[in-house]
Amino acid sequence: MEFLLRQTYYNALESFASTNNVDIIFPQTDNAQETEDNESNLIPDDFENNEIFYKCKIRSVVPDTIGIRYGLAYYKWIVQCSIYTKAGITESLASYHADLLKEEFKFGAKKEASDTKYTYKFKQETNIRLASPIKVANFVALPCLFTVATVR
Amino acid sequence: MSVDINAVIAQMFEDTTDAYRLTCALTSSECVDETPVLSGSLQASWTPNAGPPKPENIDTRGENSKRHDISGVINELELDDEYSLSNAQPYALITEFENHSAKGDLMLTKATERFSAFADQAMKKHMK
Repeated sequence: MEFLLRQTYYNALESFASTNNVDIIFPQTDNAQETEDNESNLIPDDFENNEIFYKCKIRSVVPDTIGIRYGLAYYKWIVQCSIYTKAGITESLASYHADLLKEEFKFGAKKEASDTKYTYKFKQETNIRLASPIKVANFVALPCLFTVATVR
Repeated sequence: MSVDINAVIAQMFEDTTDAYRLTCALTSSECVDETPVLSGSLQASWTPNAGPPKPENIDTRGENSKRHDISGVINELELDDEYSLSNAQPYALITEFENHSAKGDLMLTKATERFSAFADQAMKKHMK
């Protein structure tokens, strides 16, 4: 289920990025070197010259048990897609792309994915939330998040 | 048979206050525990406040042995109080959202995402 959800939403984000002609970094293709004191390494070298790119990741939240009677576990994920724009470019570019994201990923939207045994349904539980823009090296990142849950 | 309705209501308010405090405590500890540690400054700088956020940073590398008393603040909370947990370390946002540390991220987001689950848990415990 974990794998299927990641696959489903990474694919959705990838097709969203290709529709808008923007590069996207996935956790598995992120080759930025992590160091504690060198900020410039937070952006992979290939993307240094980009005006705009996306960087996404999906994190799971600890499952919560719903209902003593049923003992069902309720799984949630946080899907994040940060919009990186070159520092100095006006903020309107990032907010334009945030609006596009909002159009694409809407509250209540359901997606299905199946493995050999089960079909899982995933539902978007929140609208896209924007966090404060963060300066990362030469870029400004605008984090956009939403939550996805499994539906029985 | 008679029931003192006032006593029942008072008890209910007390239980709800306890549940609210427990929810705040669970959410805060989830957030603090999830925070990645290098020097410990980021983890130590989570500042609880009854009311709007008033972050106060603690640099553990200095000779500062002060710590924020999270449970102390929570134990003073009443039902109509607001509770906030904030962090003003300059790298807090980068750690939270932009994958700066392999040890963990999204600590506050994950904790707030679980708030309603914690509230259910706390109410179940206090409402017999």
